[in-house]
Amino acid sequence: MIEQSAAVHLSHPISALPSKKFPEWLTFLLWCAPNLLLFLVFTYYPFFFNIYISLTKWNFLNPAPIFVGVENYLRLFQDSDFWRVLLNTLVYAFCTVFIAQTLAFVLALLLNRPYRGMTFFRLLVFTPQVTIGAAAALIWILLLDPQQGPLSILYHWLEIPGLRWLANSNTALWAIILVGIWRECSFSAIFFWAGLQNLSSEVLDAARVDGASSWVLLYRIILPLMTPMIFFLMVSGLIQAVKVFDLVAIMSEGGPVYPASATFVYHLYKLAFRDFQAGSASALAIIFFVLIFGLTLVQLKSSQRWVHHG
Amino acid sequence: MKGMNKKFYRYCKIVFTLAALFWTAACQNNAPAPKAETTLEKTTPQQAAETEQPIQLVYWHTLTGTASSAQDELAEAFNASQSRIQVDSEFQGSFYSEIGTKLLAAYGSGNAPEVSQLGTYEVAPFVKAGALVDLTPFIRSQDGLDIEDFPASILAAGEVDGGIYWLPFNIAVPLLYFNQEAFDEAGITSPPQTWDEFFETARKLTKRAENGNTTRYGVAYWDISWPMLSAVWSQGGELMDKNSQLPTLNDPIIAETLKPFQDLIKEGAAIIPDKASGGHRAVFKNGKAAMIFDSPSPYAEIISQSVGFTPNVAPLPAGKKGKIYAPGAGGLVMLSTTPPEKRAAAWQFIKFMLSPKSLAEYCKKTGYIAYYPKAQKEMGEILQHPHYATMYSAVPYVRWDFSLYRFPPARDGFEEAWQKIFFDLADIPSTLEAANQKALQQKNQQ
Amino acid sequence: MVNKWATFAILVFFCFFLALPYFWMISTAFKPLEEVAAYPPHWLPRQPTLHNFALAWQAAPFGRFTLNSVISAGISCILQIFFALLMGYAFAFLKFPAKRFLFMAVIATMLIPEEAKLIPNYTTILRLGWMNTYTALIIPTVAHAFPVFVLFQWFRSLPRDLIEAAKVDGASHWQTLWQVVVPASRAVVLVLTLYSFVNRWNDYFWALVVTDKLAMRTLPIGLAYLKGTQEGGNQWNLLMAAALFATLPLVLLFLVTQKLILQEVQLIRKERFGN
Repeated sequence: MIEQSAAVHLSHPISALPSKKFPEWLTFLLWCAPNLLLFLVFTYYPFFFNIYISLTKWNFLNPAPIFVGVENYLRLFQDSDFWRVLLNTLVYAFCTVFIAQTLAFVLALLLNRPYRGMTFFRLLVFTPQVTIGAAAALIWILLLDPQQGPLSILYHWLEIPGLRWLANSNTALWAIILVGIWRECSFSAIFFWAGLQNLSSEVLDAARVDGASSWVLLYRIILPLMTPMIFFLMVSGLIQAVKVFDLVAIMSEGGPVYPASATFVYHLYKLAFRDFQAGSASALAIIFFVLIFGLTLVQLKSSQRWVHHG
Repeated sequence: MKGMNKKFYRYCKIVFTLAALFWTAACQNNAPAPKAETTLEKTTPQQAAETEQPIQLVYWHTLTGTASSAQDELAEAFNASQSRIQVDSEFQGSFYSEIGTKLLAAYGSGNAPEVSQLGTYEVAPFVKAGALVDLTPFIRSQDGLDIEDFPASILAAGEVDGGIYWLPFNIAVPLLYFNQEAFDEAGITSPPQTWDEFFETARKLTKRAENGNTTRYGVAYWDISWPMLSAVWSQGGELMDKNSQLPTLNDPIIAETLKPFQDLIKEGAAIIPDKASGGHRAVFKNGKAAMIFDSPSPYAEIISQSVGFTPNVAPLPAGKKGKIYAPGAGGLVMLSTTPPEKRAAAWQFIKFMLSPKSLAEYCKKTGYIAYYPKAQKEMGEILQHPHYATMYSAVPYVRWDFSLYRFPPARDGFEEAWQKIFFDLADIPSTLEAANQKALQQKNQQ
Repeated sequence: MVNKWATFAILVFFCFFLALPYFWMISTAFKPLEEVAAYPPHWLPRQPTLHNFALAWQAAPFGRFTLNSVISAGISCILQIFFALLMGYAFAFLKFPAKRFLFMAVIATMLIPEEAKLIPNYTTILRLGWMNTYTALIIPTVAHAFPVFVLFQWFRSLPRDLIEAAKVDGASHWQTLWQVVVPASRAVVLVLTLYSFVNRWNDYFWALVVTDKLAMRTLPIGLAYLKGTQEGGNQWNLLMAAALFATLPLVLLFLVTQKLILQEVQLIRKERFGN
């Protein structure tokens, strides 16, 4: 069935020009060149600059950073704030991504129905991407308000005193995770939905005609075909989640008692631009880089086992 | 499939053509030539007058809303009042920390403005790095600043090693806003004069439902520790020893001062509202808290937006040592990257901003405090309004001491300890002791 | 079959929670100032007003900001997807020594947060003389690993025969890319373009850093003008009115994108089933 769609694609005659004049590797280079050049200037150079600064003591203003070797790293490892930030970041990233993307997948399936008016629902799913962070934070706080929000009814029924999420060091991070899930769910759902569109509909229709129930459809056909998309959303989702900044800055500023809900980038921002400690900030960036890089490698390796290709 | 491929190909071509068109339009629409600073302009005021080329200055400011637009208006007034100097006033971020960041990056790369607004936290590092110009010669010169009736030692805020690098511009003094109807209801005839009265008042004003939940709080605290500084100072406590530059967070008076505040939270008479839902101001404006500590700058907003009651203003209560208030401040600085021939012009602008008329204009629009008598006179009749009279009655009691803001170990240490005490309701003496240890460590590492 | 109504109910529930903050934005944008901080909160304005939009518009040169945002986000996203398509194809189908290493190097670029790159990139922009130009708003943001990664995964999952057949027909890589691969990935490409645009449109930090002249600033910075001061307060209703205005192009773009995606599906169905 998929082969049939391939044949359909190729019914358009491709003009018979002499095949590639260039050797393959040259084409590769040329096509990658723009991005690589830009990465070199705007990403790799800052990265190496960060490595250099992480080995120095500098407050941005003095012209000459002072070389101190690995002191910044040692200091970070001895700082309890660092470990708390590490924990917060990992908790945030894993909870947000796994919960949100599971929900998003289900949502994408629901959105896939060819009913009229589905455009409206898709639009609703898209709105988190255009809602400014401040508004989102506000509305979720209201929803969670122990006295006024809809949840208050729940609290009342369970007869527990209401919880002010952001005022409590133990729960502040969870409020942020909630908003993170909300945002990530929307982002992933749209992607999943697009991916579902690209799945040849004949595959699905033919399978249905063959009498497959929808659960079988889901497990045997849709899921496997969607694994590449699931995979890259998971990898990139984790990377993005680790870099969360705006939600932390808007909702809690890492508080209520720092670093109760501080995550990696917020801590970096604080070290660099409030405490003027460029060396520690850069060291923090490098540590997290190594950590997430390792995590990504692990995921890439394992992907060979469960991701279907071509 | 034929049609679809062709269509998509065409779609791509259209998109690229549009992009190219946009690009050419964009290249012609670029902002005008870079600031005069990066070109090789070298005009002195005399030369400028002769060649009729005004000296271009750039002023960076922070803050938003009226506090921002008022500054733009002042710059425009300056430009209109003379033709030798043109000032370009640019917004650089909503908070002191944002402008501090930008200034930092700009200074390091040689792209700094001539004059900028700066918060008190950032003064010391900038001065130590040689980024700011010592304004003392300008102040003392013929064309200097009339600092006679400046409050004693306010200039100490910008003083580092004998030079004055920062001049105060937008000053805030902590105030107590209260709900008049709530007071009347509870039979309280006048705002609390001492801290003990304050705690009593807060308890009286707290309303509860049958299930014990608080329906109206006596007081809502700000989510920063600033008002507590006034409380501590007024009770005779100190967070640091200025002479030895050592933190004294374990001063027992601090613990004594903070305890009753914490008790109010434990009893449900006080609350620290979430910033995300509007903070203490929102909670006061909708009547859910009867008192708040705040600065004078949201005054207009509070008055106009409070629903169902009349807001009133009172000075902060007095402690054992009487009334002592900790100021909040933003000020003006001149960057050392300003070429010598432009410094006189930059000084003219600074002088203008701080002149009685300008400062009064600014304070009338924004609610910040005109901190010296000549400027207050320019404010005119508005000072007779009871609220304004109250605000300005607090000015003589301000302790113009910014040494804490310049000492991160004690400053940040206190903020962190305060957070633990007010949010986590931690044990006060041990938290302060631990904070002091940490501050000492940080001081030794500097 | 799962109950139709049950799935519909779940869908509504989901979408309700996702869209609620946006609804609040709309509601607040029409509220007069006194209603904004009301407690209990008014879910619908009791005295709706259009005044906020006029006020917000006057607070800052929003016309200019919009133009800047359109230009910088538009060009940036087109270039971003273009280069990502090239690179994604190259990684998926072309041979190159040390390709794996390069691939990891590209993925690695996603791991560095913007804040860590701030100072060096700012210095670079200055040295190139790009301050306050569209170039500075666009060029540094064009190279992005996410679309490359997405496209790479996607291209690899396309049926092998598709590409083989094109090769057999003697097509060059350029032709294979545009006439075979991209059409087969339309939905993904469209979504990536959409997100790239949304991302660039919403960018605050970088735009704040590379522009210090009012004339070159973008919408998110314009919104910041309406936020509260350090010691003052928020004017939520104005902020939401402006924010609402700022999101309209994005909503429009989304509607267009999803329509285009669906069109493709419909075309396939038509050719296959003739309905």
